Amino acid sequence: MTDYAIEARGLSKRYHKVRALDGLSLDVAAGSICGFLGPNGAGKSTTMKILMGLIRPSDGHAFVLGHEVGKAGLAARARIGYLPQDPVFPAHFTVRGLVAYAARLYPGHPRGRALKRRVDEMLEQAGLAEKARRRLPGLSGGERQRVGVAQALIADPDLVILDEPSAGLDPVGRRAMIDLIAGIGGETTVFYSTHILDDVERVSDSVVMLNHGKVVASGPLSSVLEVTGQDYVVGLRGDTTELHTRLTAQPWVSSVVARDRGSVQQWQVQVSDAAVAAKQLVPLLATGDHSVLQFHLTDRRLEDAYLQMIGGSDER
Amino acid sequence: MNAEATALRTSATGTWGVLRGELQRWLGRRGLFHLVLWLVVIEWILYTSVATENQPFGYLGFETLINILVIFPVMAGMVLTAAAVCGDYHDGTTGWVLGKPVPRGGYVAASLAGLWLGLAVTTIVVPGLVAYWWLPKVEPYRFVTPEAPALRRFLFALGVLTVILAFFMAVAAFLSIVIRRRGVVVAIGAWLLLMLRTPLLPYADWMDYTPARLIRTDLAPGGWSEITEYIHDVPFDAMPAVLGTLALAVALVAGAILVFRRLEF
Repeated sequence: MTDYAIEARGLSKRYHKVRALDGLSLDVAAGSICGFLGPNGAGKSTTMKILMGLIRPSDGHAFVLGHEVGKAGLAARARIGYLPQDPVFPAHFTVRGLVAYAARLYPGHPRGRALKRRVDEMLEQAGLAEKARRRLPGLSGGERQRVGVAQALIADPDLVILDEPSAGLDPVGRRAMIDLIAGIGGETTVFYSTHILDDVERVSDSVVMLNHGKVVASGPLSSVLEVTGQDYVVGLRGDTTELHTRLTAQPWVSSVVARDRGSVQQWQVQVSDAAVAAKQLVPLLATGDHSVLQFHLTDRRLEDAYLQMIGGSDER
Repeated sequence: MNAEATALRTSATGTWGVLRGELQRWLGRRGLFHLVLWLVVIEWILYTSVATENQPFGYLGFETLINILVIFPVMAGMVLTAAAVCGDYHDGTTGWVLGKPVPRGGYVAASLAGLWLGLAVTTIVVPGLVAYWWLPKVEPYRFVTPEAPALRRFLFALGVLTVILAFFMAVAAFLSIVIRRRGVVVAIGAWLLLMLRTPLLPYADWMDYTPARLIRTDLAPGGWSEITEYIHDVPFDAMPAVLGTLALAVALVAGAILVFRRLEF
């Protein structure tokens, strides 16, 4: 196996005048659990479909498990499990029938009793053992999603690409899904898209953030949080007008969000350079016609980083 | 194992898996539904048109049977092919299957082969054999064939009918992949069937190598098709048409695969 399960360089995709992907480059390390984030329409599903060979890039190239997408797609897909967004499966199957059908499409699949055992094992893992005989059209959205994950994992793939696996799941189902993803990580590379940032923080070791078809941040989770800076919470009383002007003029201050708490103002100061902030923030706060009642450093959350990188109202 | 052999094995496994899935479908509810439906429809139409006192046409029983076994299976084949190709494309099922190690050509060929086999058995072979059994036994009010044709000849005729079915399904598959609108595909297919079957289209020499030679009738008593003549002991000289129909079906499927390989899902 190469160091990277997925490598993409300069991927672009245009649909007539719409540019869905714009020179996207990304690396996903083998064995990692990589969360793929971005607002609706950012290009996540398009990227995944290109990696699966279902659509062709307008420009650029990608390698999946060492195979160039489009040239040796079949060899790559023999080692990939894929769950599309809003999956639709052939309606005539039962849950067990569909998972067995999916298994039989892979070379070297188990046969007879070994296949039955493998399917049972997978259904158990996906929480579908009791629904094995149910026909697919009778399943709820969450159950269908779990069937989707079971069929993606049935061939014990080296890489799993999951397009919003938690969509439509209730909190219990979502937790089970995340545990499942955490359980297969390590040996299997997991590349999954989601809007649930808590889940990403819980199980992912790396993230790729996409916006308007471009990667805006990528790498290990800790470094993405670090790059986006730190937040300080400051409680102040008195005239803070001059302090606010001085703070926002500093090049290492990204933003100052003020909230009134009665006679006390609480500021969230976001800094882009943690080292400079550590030296200069306290002296700055100490000068002026106000009192400092509270001062502490907060843990940066992925949600903060996401909102900073992508913007709260940046959906298209 | 070298890369080529591995690729071949992967392709074969994926293609066989799709074919097996299609066949499984026919061994369950779908097969039973079609078997019952077509047995009832075909035998009932045959009975009312040849074995009742009120039947208005002067056709012989086996000529009527052959006509029915051309029109109904072909129409069913075109409708189901268009529904399968267009429906699966639009609802995303095709995209899901192609996310597996299944070659695109293999997917098209295996899906069509499974559908063709299921339809051939449920709409041609079984209803044909059932009619072969009861038709000569029916009280011959008027025009019912007094004796059954030789079984060997009848089985050959059924085989030719399955080739005709394959041709029209290939037409529907090609159009479905190009147009992806099932209503338009079925309308074009039905028009083609009408043109090839009736004297509306002037007959040219090159049509000896097409299904027109096999299914064209005068729509009048005594205006037998080649297939009916054959089961009534007339020597069969339309083999080039059978081979030509088969070749056209294969060419259309190959064309469909070429277009399908360019599609995005």
